[in-house]
Amino acid sequence: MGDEDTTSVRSTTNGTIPAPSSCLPEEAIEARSSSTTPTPHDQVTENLPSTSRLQDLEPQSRSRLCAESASDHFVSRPRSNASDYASNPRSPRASIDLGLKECSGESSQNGGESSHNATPAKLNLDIDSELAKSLLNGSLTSVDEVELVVEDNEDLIMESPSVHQKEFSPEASSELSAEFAGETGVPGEEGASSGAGSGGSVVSELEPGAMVEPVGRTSSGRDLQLVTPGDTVSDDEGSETVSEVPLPVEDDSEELGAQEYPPEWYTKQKHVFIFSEAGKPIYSRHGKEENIVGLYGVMQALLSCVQDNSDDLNCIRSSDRLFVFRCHPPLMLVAVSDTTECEEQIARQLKYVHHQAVFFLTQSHLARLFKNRHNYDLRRQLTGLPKFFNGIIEFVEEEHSFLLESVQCLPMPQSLRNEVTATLLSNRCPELVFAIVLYERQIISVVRPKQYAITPQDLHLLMNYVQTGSTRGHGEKWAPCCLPDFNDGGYLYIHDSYISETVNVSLVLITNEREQHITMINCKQRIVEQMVAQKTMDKLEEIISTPFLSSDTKIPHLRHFVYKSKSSQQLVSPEYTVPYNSDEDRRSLHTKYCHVYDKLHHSDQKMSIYYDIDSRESVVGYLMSSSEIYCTFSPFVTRPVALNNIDKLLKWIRREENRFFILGSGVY
Amino acid sequence: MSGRPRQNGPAQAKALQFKLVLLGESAVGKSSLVLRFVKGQFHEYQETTIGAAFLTQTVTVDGVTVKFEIWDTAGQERYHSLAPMYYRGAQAAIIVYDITNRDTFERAKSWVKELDRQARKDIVIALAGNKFDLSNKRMVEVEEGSAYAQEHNLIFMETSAKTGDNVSNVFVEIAKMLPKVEPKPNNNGQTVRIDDNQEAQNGGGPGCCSKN
Repeated sequence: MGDEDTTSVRSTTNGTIPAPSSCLPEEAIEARSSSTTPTPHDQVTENLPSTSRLQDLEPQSRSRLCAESASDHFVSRPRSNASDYASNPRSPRASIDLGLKECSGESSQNGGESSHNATPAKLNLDIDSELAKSLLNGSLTSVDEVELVVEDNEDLIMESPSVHQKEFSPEASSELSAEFAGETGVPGEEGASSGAGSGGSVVSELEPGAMVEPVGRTSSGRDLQLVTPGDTVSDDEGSETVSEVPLPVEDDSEELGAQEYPPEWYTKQKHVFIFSEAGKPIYSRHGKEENIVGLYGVMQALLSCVQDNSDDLNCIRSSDRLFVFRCHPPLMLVAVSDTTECEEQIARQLKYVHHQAVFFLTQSHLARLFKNRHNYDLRRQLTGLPKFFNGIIEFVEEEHSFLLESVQCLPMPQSLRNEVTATLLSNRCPELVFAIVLYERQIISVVRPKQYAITPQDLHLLMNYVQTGSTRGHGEKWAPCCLPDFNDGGYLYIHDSYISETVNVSLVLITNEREQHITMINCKQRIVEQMVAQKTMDKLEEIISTPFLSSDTKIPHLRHFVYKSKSSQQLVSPEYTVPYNSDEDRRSLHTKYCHVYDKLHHSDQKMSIYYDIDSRESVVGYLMSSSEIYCTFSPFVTRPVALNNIDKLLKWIRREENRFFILGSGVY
Repeated sequence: MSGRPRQNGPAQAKALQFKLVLLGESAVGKSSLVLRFVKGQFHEYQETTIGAAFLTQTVTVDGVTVKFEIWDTAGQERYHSLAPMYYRGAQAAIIVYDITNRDTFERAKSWVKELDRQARKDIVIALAGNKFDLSNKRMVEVEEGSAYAQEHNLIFMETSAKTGDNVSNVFVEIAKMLPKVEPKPNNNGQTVRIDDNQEAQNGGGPGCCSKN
């Protein structure tokens, strides 16, 4: 299969990739038809779990996404040159596998032929440079491999041993195109002109018209019918249709034009986008949403193509970027990353971003907003909130506590922590549910009812809320917020304020009664008064002025470490010290931790120890039954020495655990 | 509120406490007004208020120390439903609009109506046309604001949180109108219905800046 596929691919991709232009609808159509042709059912079943890499294909075929899916839609949406779709059930690494199920009756509506094919077919989507460009900006041009991973309803289909590629059989392609056409509304901005579609004659022909077409097709199913026949035929028809339907899409495409984004936009390491199921922009981490409307359309199209087949698009890989898609209805989230973070980590980051939206609006309110107004512009509800999205993204990129799904406590003598906790408990009023004392992103104390816990994820959101919406200098804050893990359907009311003049220690009081703002203010007043009387504040300030350092452990060669206690979901980690002076150094080390974490947690082989050694440092990850630890040593440390030191460190931490962790107490 | 500077610490003994709420469309400068009043600061890019913020500040009027407990509310629509809990028990309100944005003036009028209906009857209301420093871009004339204020017995001033013009005057004028008797505000409220008198006093006031 590989051969066939590759060839087909080439045709689409071969040419240099010009600017992102719309994919030719016709091409797509063809591709579809081809894919469908082979025995659908058989292939489908086989295909389900596979992902494919384009790289396996011949070199020429560069950036294309092959989606194996029954769905024709898939192709149509992207508008990208979905030209080649070969259905080869067994190709070593086919391009993208969409473990889609059979096409539903939709296809049948379209051209007769198409309908046949549609059912079980798998699709190979080619997303040429255009898509890549549009999404990533031109960086993709060098894409050698593109890997699409789709989740078959339940299972993540990552790379599976048996990858199926689809060949372009002219016949199969037709079906797909038809359905795609049915999907309207996608701004067809992207279709990159397949430039010189050297390989496939069809492609090349299509291209000129293609740019335009995508839009037209989406709207109506007729295009599909036209497509059905052979490649050539489809092309012609497609072009016609295109011309007939000028489109809003074109405008979009123009907007997408690479020139529209400022150069810096392309160099960002990670983009995060939120949009509605209707493709309405909600948030963009970099740049203004309104400037990249077309891009949202493309992303939405990709997602919904796959969804139409009751499947979910999870991620697309190119040689230098990872596109991660997640649907948290009614929101759709996409991250485009050129970091080394793996898909799972980025998906978790997107979940946080979603939770950030829920934090302010609640899941039920979100659902209600979109229920009757599919086109609702959520940005109206988000005035002043984008900074919190930015904040949570920074948080998840920097924090060990996010990586390890835990919280970090400010190290301090147990007696002092108990004193703070006792102060909270003694001034507790009946309306109070949670009381938390924070120092920036570390916890000093938590008081909670016996029957309710508060998860690390919710605490992270609270930290972001307190830190990003800093009240320093502007009094005490009182706002309704939702802790998604606690209850994503309702609000809690949060009072927060800084309680120290000199350090960023804040007190967060949470109640479930919205009219208790005065009560909370009074409660806070009593707590502060007692803390002042006991000089608790002074003690805290002293603790904060002498941070915990790795040198405190007296372990030789140890530069830094992160230790997580699984049972308490808490971690301990020293401040960064030499040689990690700059933000860049720190981020680089954190990235290494992420990498080691990924190896330990997401590898096929079960490992409990992983070394990562380079000229700068050696990082060792060690998984134990009740804890895990990540240590950074100088690069000259031998493995036995490193292991021995880790052993010593573990014993040291156990001796000091009262200082690092909140153990019991704080419950009423 | 840990150690917020109080201007008139010594006079605490006589301090009367009043709840004051700021209302108005988002981005008209409510937080900036409060920050100018409480801290004497101004930030060109004041962060959007989420929910509401609570601050206090004291002023001395005619030898009497008045402590304002200020609820600076968020202007966004999604927090509108929470507004009643801030103004319900308030003795005073400042309704703010942006003189360069007519829509915010209309929104201010609707706040006045809402307070008329639902706030306590003796509430002292001030209407503040903020961003006076941008008067070359004004979309709402002084006379218009002033006329509306007179019609509804409101204190009226045009203010600028950026330059500080009239900011503390608004609070001082409000303080003058509030009952100076310790007892429950309710009783005083009627007496205080000073609004009428006030007009006389403040009558010149509406001109705001000029008054300064």
